[in-house]
Amino acid sequence: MKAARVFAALLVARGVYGVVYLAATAGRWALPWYYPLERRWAFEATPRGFAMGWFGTTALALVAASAAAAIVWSLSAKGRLSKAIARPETILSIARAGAMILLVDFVYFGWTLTHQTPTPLPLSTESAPP
Amino acid sequence: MIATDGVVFFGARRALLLLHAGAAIVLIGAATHHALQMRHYLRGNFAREALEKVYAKVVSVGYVITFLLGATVYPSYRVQVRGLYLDRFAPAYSALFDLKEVYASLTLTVAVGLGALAFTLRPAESPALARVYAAMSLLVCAVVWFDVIAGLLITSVRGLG
Repeated sequence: MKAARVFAALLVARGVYGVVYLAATAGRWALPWYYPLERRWAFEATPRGFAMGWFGTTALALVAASAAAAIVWSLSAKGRLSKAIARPETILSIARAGAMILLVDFVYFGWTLTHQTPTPLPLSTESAPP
Repeated sequence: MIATDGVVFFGARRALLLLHAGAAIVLIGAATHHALQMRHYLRGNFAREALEKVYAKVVSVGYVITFLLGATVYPSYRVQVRGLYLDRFAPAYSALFDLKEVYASLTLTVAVGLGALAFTLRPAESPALARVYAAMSLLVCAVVWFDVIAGLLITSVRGLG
């Protein structure tokens, strides 16, 4: 039973991670952006200058996934959810949904990241973006 | 020129990159061995469970360590390698690196899950769950191989220097 609960919590966390990561990127959610040249963080939807969004997106997805895992874990201790999770079909259904989310994530990011327009850093600081 | 010296961990970039590569070597070995063990699970043979669980725990810890070390080198790479060179002269490799990072991030929970399940899953008692577990292992192994090959290719074009 414990394995089924761990499985359910992990698979739900995996699904939430994938959904939040995709939604935050595609929906241009306001996130913490890191400006490596200025060593500062800014919470914004669109960066103003040379910034990295990967840290903020990953952190947000991790927090959401951890919360989802904690909720599933605590709710599955007893009651109807506990009985449902004890059936392998339930775990397989969650796993299939998670696999579909992952597939969508991989295809979406595979397409968008290979079709982005690169913006090189200027070689001179005089012409660097503000 | 852009002042790369101000980038966080830039002074330690080579040491961090070496540690990142070292951790990736451990990870790819463990992930490959673990995925190979899964062929027994898919046939319903769980005799090597103890060995499999060791690999799963190494994969889980190795993935997190490799991930964190990669994150510490990322700002240096983003400025010195991608910003100043790849985006200008080899944009296909910029895209390849972004794919590597995003796929690694998307698979993080699966890799951690392998480690957590190594403590609780009894595959002989629940063979249906063992198949899901095997799929997770194969996914992690595939992403690790993709990331290692992508990392080597990118470094062959432009390293951190």
